[in-house]
Amino acid sequence: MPTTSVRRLVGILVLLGCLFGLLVWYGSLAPNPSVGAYPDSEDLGPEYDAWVGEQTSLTGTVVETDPLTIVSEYGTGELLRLQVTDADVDAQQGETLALYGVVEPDNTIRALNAYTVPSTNYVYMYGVSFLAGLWVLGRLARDWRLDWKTWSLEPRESPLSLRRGLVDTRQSTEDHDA
Amino acid sequence: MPDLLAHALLAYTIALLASWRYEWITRPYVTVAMAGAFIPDMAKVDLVFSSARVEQLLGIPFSWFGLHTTGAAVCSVLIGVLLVRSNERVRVASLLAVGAASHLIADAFLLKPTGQSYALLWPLTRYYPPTPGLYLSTDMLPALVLGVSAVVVTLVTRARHRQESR
Repeated sequence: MPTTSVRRLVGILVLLGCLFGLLVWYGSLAPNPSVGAYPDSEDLGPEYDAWVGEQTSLTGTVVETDPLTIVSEYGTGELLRLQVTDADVDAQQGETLALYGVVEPDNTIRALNAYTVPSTNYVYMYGVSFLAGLWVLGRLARDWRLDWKTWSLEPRESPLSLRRGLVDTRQSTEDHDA
Repeated sequence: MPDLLAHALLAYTIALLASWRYEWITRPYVTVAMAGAFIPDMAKVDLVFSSARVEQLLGIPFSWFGLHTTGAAVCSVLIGVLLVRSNERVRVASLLAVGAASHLIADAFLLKPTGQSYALLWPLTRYYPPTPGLYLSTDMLPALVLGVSAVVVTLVTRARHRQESR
């Protein structure tokens, strides 16, 4: 069945609506430890005392090592400062602490399990992720083209080449050379 | 899995291996699988425009992490399918789905302090399956291992094509 541009557009809008609905639905889910969804800093932040005695899973930046103290962000930039006891880690300032533990009074979490990640590892992760994004975007631009008549994407017969001056050379010799 | 590079390499490797069996998986379709691997990580929009700020703006609950689930991945794949001509739809749908699924499954093996991964099958179920905790999202090893696999698979694929064209 041929699809007109209008029908395609309507389809895309409906799907975007579904996607938005899913994100609202997911955002409205309350913590549920029985399935593994423990409260995190978004839940603890606004009303810490309501969660005392519950288990929590969150991450925060180590700001003090003795006693071990982390700061975790919630909401639109608010900070939750937590002391962590019983954590069997050699945490350094600036590292990220991933924590699973029990909420105790006075902004204290008794750790059941914890590990740290150096901040340089995050720099690495964001760096290579950015490069990977460029790689895949580049491949999409080289392998697919927009057909303005039908407003659809089409595979190119041969990849766009920078060396050949960004022309679509219409050879299929490299077709298989993924 | 960890970083997007590892995810892209994983999808690339899977698509190339599949091309040994299915000849129609040519270069453009390998790219589609790699694009599919990016779908769940659209949730990273959160870093630029946080869920809390969207909530504040709209006055309703909201979480970008919903994008990192099967339900949202299906929705996104269908959007991708509508972007191509009808004769491409089955191919594009299957490779976007393979890419997105490889991402969700690889992430289900991430180390978590609770020992449980995340709600990858939501909204079918909200259950967080136990994770073997194979790697952290910041580890370099997965990208390294997958990079080597990608190179090997690329070389073997080229050798196979040379043999075919002979």
